[in-house]
Amino acid sequence: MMTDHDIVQGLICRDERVTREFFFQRCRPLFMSIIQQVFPYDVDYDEVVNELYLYLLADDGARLRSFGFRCSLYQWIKVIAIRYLIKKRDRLIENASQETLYIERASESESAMMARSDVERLFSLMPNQRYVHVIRRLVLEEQKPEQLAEEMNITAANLYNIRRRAMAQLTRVALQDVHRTR
Amino acid sequence: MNSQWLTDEQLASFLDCTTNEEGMRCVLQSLQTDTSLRETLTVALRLEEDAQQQSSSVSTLNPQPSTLPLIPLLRLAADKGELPAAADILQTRNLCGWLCELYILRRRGLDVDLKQLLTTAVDNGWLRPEGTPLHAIGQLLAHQGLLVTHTYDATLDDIARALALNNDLIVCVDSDKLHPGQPDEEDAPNHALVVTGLDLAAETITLYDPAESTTDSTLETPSKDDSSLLTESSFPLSLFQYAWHESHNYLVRVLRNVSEYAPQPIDLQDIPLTHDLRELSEAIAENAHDLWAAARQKEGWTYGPQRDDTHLRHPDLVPYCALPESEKEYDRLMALNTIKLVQKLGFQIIQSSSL
Repeated sequence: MMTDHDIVQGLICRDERVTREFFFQRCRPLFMSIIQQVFPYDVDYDEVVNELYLYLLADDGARLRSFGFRCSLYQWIKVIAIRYLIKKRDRLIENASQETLYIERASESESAMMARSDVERLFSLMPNQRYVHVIRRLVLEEQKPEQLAEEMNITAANLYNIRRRAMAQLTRVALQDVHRTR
Repeated sequence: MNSQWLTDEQLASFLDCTTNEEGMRCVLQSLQTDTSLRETLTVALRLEEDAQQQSSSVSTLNPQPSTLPLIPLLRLAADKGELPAAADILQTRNLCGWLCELYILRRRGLDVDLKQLLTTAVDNGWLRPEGTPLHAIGQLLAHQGLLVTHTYDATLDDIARALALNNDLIVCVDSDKLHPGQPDEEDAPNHALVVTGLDLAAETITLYDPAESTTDSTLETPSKDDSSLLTESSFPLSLFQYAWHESHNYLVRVLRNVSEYAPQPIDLQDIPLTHDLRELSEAIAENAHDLWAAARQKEGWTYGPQRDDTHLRHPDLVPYCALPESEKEYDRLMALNTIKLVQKLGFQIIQSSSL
């Protein structure tokens, strides 16, 4: 089975098989779902996905080369696709690669960081406190997943699922909170 | 703050829970002011929730998957990541299936070189950090010359009969359901156990649990009569059945002799076939015949009205269309059942024109 590194390398080198199997086949259901979620009207699937492919490979694959493997490739592609298609819909597509710019500006955001008390408040709103525990250990304390899995007496695969569900619950709570307080 | 400052990877890391404190706070803070980020995360949440329905938007040759009584080709939940070296696998938590096989080999009095056993399992893909496929459990035993069968939808009666024949049995369960005190985060098989006893009257089952009795030191210094490998526990049958159900009652049986072999193929009667799939099965049947005929011809066989093993003559060395209907039916049945099995195991057959 190909690793994320293999796939990224294949995409950068425009390997026909990797591109077809990963981007145009494995990601197809994902892209179809995103298109359905983002566009309130019918769009040409092939046209949109081909544009997305060109966006991903722009500047000799600069975007792909910047991928740091800090998350799964599939999740990264998902986020890129959602953001790209929202921008496309809103006609705000910017052609220049902004990944570097984003990273530089991100550091400026430290002063405006959400206060710890606000994060704790969101944690308290989460119905599953086990999820809170997982986020605390993995994100706040930066514990290794393997160690936490062992500590919780579960497999790493179980923890992988739990942590995704945990972040989904935190996101849901945060979105509801924003909606409530607006 | 605007989510434009968040890279795609920072946001994806947040969703994957591989971010750090700064990254998490940055996303949560941005949510309050950035409508585009809110929409991005709302879509991501919906995708997560609708993951099961995504494939239905793809045009396939199959009936709706949700209507099929599937037994997906499962694997034991385990560590994710790169395949480590054999030595490193001892540090993972994925050994239960392998340990069950080791337990059986020792119970049968077979001398095993632990390192070689581990290398064989890793090299053949029978032991994987990303989760051991159920069908891989028992392969090591077969490799050692034992007679192994794999069965889905097995019953307690199957277990009772096999134990009466002194067979060795491995079952795959959702361990969290077997231990109600543990949180049950996922409905999936995540553990392998050896069945050592069944008392239908008392409604209990006795199991050897490698997780209860094995330590790294045991692995590194194996001993045939190591008492730590003999730990067994009894469980109420109802609890066991609840936990076993998650693997679709998967049973690996190690026979004592060939006469005990009673084939139990997966029941495929409930898998419907569309018209397109029937056409596909006809193509598969003809190709299977061509493959067979090509191999025979390569070996020197030619057509003859009667089978003649001495002079290498065979009456079926004719084009598929010229085969007797009974022979065609045999090939069709093989093809149909293969297609049904693919579906039953949770795969979908997608026509390339729809991709």
